[in-house]
Amino acid sequence: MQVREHDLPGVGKKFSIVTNDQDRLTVIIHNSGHRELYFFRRGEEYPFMALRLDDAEARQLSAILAGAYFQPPVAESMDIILGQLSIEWLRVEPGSAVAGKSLAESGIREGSGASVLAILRGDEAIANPPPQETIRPGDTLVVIGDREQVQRARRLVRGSGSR
Amino acid sequence: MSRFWLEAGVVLLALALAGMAFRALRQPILPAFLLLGLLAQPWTRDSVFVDVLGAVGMLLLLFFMGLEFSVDRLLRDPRGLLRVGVINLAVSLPVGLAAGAALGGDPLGAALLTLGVVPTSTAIVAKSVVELRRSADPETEVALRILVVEDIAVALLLGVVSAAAVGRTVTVGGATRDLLVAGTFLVSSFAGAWLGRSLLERAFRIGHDDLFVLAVGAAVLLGAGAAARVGLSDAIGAFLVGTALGETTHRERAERLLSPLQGLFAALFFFAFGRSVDLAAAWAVAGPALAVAAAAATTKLLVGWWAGARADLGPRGRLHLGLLLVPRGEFSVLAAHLAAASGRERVAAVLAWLVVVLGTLGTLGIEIGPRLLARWFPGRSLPSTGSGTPSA
Repeated sequence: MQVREHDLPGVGKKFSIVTNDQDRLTVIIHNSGHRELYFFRRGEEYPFMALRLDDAEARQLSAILAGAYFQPPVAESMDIILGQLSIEWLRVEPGSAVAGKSLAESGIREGSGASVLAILRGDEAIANPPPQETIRPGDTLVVIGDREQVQRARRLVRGSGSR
Repeated sequence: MSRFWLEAGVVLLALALAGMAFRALRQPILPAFLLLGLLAQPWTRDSVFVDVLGAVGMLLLLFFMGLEFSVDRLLRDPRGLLRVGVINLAVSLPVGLAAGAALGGDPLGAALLTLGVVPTSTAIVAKSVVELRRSADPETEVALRILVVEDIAVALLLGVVSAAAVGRTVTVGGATRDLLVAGTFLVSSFAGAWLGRSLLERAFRIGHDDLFVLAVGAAVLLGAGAAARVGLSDAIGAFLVGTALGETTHRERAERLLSPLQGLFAALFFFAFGRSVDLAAAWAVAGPALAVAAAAATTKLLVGWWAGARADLGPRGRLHLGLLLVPRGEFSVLAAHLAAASGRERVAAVLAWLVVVLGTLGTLGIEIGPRLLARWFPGRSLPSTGSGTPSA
C-alpha cells in the first residue's frame, strides 16, 4: 500500500492512499478533528463518495480496522501508532538472534531504545517482564518506542542468530 | 450604562440574524457583517463597543493567520513560492495601478489598492472547501498552497506599506525612514521568532487553559502595541506574534482555545469596518469598483489556469483552481482599513465593494462552477498518484 502525505494549509492534512489492488482512497484529517474519507472510481480524478467522521467515530472505526474487536487469524504482527510513539507486536521466529536469551542478554533495550512492554507466550501474557525472563521461540514481544526505536527493535528480533 | 449594553446587544443580535440569513442563502457570513456595518451607519456612529471590539477582532484575525503560516512550510519550496508570489503580483499590479490612477490617488493609495486586490480570502475558501466536501480534489491542495504564499507576501507588504500609511510624515525622507524602520522591525522580529522558538516553547508551557489564553492574549496585544510604537500597523504586530507562536508546538492549542473568540471578534471587525466606510464615497466609486472587481476576478482565473497547468491539472482542474482563488475577504478589508485610517476614503470604498461582490459571487462560483464544468469537461483519466512526501 502506498501512502502519501500532503499539507492542506488552513484545512488539515491529506493522505492519498493507493492499495495494492490499485484502489484509491483519500483520508483528510481536519484541524477541527474531523476525518473525511473520499473514495475514487478507478482512473478518475474526482471522488464519487465522501464519508465524514468526528474524532470519536474515527477512532472507533480505526479500532475496528485494526482488529481490536475481531482479529483475523492471518495477522502475525501489528502495530499501533500513538502520536510520536508506536507499539508493535514482534513475533520471535526460531532462528531469531534473541531466541533463547534473557531480556537483559538480548540487548533490545540498549540496542534499539525501545522497551519490551510484555511477552505473549501462547495463552499466557507476561506484562512488564523482568530482565532475567528468557525469550523463547514462538513468543510475541510487545515493544513501545518512537518510530526508529521500534524499527531497530524489529531488526534485532528479526535478525538471524548466526553470529 | 444601560444604553451601552442595549446597544451592544442589538449589534450582536443584528450580526447573528444577518449571518443566519446569509447562511440560509448558502453565502459566506463575513460579507454579511460588512454589509450590515454599512447599512447600520446612522445608528452606530459613536458606539465605543464596536470601536474597541472591532479593533480586537482585527488583531485576533491577523494573529490566527500568523499561526497558520509556518516558516518551515515556506522554506520547503522557496522557488515555487517566489514564482507564485511574483505572478500573482504581476497580474494584479496593473489592476491596482489603473484603479489608483482612475481614482486620482497618490502612489500609496495605489499600493494599498493593489494589496487589497491581490489576496484571496483564505478564511472563505478554506471554509467553502470543507463545507462542499472538496478537500480531496486535486486543485484544492494547489489552491491552499497558493493562499499560504499570498497571505504571507501580502502581510509583509502591508506591514511595510502601513508604516508609510500610518506615518504622519509627508516628506520623501520621512517616508523612507518609516519604511526602513518598518523593514528592520519586520526582519528582526522574524529572525527573533525563528531563533527564539525554544524560548517561546518554554514560556507558553502553561498547564492551565485559562492562563494559557491570557498569556496568548497578552502576547498579541503587546505585539500589536510594539508594532504601532515603531510606526507599523498594529495588525502586523499581531500577525508576527501569530507566526512566532505557530513555530512552536502550542499552535494547535492556541487555535483550539481561541477560535470561539475569533468568530465573535471577526464579525465585529467586519462590522466595524463596514461602519467606517464613507457612504457618499461608496456611491461615487460604484462604477470603477465593479470594474476593479471584474478585473480582480479575471486575474485570479488567469493565475489559476497557469498554476493548474504547472501542477499538471486538466482544463477542468485549472478552471476550478481559478474559481477557488476569486473570493476576497480579510486581507482586502485590512488594506481598506489602513486606507480609511489614513484618509483615503475612496480606496477604502472600492475595496469594500470588492469584498462584498467577490466575497459573495466568488463563493457562489466555488459552489456551482464545478457542477457546470463537470458537464462540459468529463473527468480525465489519471495516470499518476500525486507528488506528496511518502509517509511510512
